[in-house]
Amino acid sequence: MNKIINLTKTLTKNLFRQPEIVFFTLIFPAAMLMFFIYVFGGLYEGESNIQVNVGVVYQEELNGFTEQIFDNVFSGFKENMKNSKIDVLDPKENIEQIIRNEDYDLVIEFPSNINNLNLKMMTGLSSIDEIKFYHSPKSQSILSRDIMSSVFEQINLMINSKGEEIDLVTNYKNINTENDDFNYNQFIFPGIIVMAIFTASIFNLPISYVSDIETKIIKRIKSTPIKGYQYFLSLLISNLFILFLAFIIIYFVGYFNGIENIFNINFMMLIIYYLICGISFGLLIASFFKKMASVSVFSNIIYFLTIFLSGLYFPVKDVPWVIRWFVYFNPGTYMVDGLRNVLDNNLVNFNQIFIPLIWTILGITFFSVSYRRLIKDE
Amino acid sequence: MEKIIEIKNLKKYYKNVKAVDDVSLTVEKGNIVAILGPNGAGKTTTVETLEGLREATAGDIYYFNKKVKKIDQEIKEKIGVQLQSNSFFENLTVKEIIKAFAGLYKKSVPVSSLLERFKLEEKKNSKIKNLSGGQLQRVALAVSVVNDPEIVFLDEPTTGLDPQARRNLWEEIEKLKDEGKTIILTTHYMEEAEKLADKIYIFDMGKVIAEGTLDSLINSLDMSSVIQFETEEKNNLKEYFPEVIIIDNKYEIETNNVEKNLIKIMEISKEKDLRINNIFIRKPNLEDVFLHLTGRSLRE
Repeated sequence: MNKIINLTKTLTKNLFRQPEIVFFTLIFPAAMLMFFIYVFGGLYEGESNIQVNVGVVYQEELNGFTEQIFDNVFSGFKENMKNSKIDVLDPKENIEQIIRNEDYDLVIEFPSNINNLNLKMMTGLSSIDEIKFYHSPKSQSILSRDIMSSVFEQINLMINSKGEEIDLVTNYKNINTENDDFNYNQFIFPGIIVMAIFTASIFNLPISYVSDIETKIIKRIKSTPIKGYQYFLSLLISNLFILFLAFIIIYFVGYFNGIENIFNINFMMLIIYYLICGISFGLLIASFFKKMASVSVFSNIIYFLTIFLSGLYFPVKDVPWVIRWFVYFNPGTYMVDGLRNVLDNNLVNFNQIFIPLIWTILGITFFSVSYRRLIKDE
Repeated sequence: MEKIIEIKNLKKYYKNVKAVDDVSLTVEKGNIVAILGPNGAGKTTTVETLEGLREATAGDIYYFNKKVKKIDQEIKEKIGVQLQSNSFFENLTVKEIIKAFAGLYKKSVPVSSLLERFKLEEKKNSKIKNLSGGQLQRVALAVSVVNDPEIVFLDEPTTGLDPQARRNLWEEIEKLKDEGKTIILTTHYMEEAEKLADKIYIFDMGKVIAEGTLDSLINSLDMSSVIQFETEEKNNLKEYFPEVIIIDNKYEIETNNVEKNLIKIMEISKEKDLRINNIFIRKPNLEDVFLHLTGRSLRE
């Protein structure tokens, strides 16, 4: 045991003397977390394409000038926003449920006396009830509400330009959905945790291991009474130690930025599970290389592909099909989704456990064979 | 004397390469044994098999008169190793490296005494990557005896060092012998083997081609002296001296009768108007032994 402790101390000390490892493992993830929180934390979820799905409920069928005005408005809207749609819904449907189901981003309900607008425009008499906008707190829904609000402002301007003092009154109704409290900080935190895991497992571990092979440090250690597993354990512990420090810093930043649920035991257990998967993934890479130059290039490529094509920072559901296969095979995709689910108090799904498990088994199997061969006959 | 290591018919084959082919050797306690040979002769493979870094294809290894199947932790506690390339964490300091290796053994020598003994005190806080070749070799030597071993393996310990650093290291190796340690060193410098070794094994192409003390190896050559000279005439020299050997543009005549050959050289040079330069007489050495056995120079 003392030998493992001594060797671990040496390997850890050696890791800490390498500025690039200290920076990329300890400082970089926390800096990234702070960057994302401060830059994007105040914004709503960003979607690349503006696509507004609006449902319209008429409590009475439109006619006359009123029908003409709204037909013009909605057809103009459809022309300008090709990806968007406006559907007329059955007035008997439960509007609030429609919003909760996220079938539409926005539902506009015209009152049963909307046709009074015809009379009002001619005589100035008569009254019209409010037009209700039902929306959820989701960014897409609020965006739809704001777009349609500006459209209705245009209608008022059109009517008023004809000399009539008419103001269509709109009223917003915010409907809570299951996933209504989107918070970017909550979104990015699991991403940064997974990034830290991959920094240690894809960068530090394979590179320090292959470096020890190339510089013959493993050979030198093998000539001492240290057993093969003792070196491996020490290498693992030293890398895990630096990752543990990285987690502390990330948690510190996360805690002081109000990220909730991060001390949830299920969340922390899942981090440990994904940590094992990440380490195995790194060992899989290490199994195939004996030269620093090759492993450095390969680790860089795999690291960035794994990080950027896993949904850590932005959604990847719409990436081109050519690279979508990588998203599907990428363990990071399932790791980050799994952590987000647990952070939102949801259950992890089967794939979020199973796919990382496959990578874990592959990594451990390939590395065992390769390491055994290395230790047997250096 | 007590045998401390014995190898019988050791073989180490890699696919189509016979790195070590039927090697047998014996090391006696307290001796310095040199394994001499050119690059690729099988010296390092033999030593690394004894250190437990490689598995033999065939053959028997005896440590302390006991046959061992595997070089286990118990044996590794008793041996010290210096590899051919110095493999240390280059971001750690000299003191940290020695301390780190001390922690890998059950028994160890105090770090401060090793720093003092190998003249590393001034450099104890220097990082490994900032050391010169000679300093690095001293660190490697210090690390190889950190566990106070009975047997020390030194794999080409002075390769790449300047003559002064090499002589300093030889002194350290001799001190280790004086302390009663058994030393097995590989080298391709015949001077190193001549200076340090009690027994020499000459390797070539994975085999032991000669073994014995320095005197016995040299006495096996039937000559008492070698006359060495240089000349500008190259083409017809063999005509005048059929027995001449050409090495590194120098001409050598091996002989048991120096006077007779010197007179002959003088006569021919006068008769043929040859200009003879840098003529001198030396005793035969291990280079001559190797040349006689293989027809090649040790440095080739």
